[in-house]
Amino acid sequence: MNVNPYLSAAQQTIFTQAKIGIAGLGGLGSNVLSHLIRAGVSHFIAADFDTVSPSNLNRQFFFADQIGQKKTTALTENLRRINPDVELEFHDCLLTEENIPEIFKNCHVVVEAFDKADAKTMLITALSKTNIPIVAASGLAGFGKSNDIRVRKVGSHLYLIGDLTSGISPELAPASPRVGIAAAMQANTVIAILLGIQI
Amino acid sequence: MPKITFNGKETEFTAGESLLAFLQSRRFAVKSLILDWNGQILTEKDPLDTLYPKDGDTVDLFSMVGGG
Repeated sequence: MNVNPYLSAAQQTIFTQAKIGIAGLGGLGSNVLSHLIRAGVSHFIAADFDTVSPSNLNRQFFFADQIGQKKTTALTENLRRINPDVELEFHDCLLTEENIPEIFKNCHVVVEAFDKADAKTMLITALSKTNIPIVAASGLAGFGKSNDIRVRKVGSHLYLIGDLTSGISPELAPASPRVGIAAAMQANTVIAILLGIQI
Repeated sequence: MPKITFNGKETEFTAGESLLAFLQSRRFAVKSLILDWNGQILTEKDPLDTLYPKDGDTVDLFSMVGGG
């Protein structure tokens, strides 16, 4: 099923052939997937070991009646309601420096969608020996300061999205608007990479 | 004294100083940092103590903070 009738034939061909990796199915990953599927991308490889908890509902693409379910299971159900034909290769596992290169080896772009700072750098390290473009996020907690969230190209294949300073802390929680801005910018950057247009 | 462009500013460094020593002398904790060294991406897992910047190099730092 083609959910985006506004694509050109050339764009549709690129989107149909693209395989996108998503590392983490939380506030970033679940929303990046929703955006990319609505845009017409249809093949994904993703991983997360977690279950849906009440604290996820402030920003993640899950629903109250899914609390306790595996994120891979719950998100498959939600995303198939957007496009029943989307190809989702979801791994219910912890991503490590060792398994990341293998799981994402056939991806054209990988989205870093972890929560913790050390996991974010771990993914960048794990994929540094490949030439796979990485779209990562850093600095998106709190409210306001929308214009501080931006996209930076770092080196030849890393794209960093966020304000680089607003980390989560007891005083600064992640919330739907800013996490959503960052996730939408990650999705839009993936599309720009696929289409070869300005990020 | 040799100079590198560090975070967009021309900065002097000691010849023979490793990337790690350069960052530590400026009180940067390497943990959760991404370095762009002349377009090459490095993290704390790379052997920063055995990499030596040269005159005219570019080094930019980006911090990875939690949240997602």
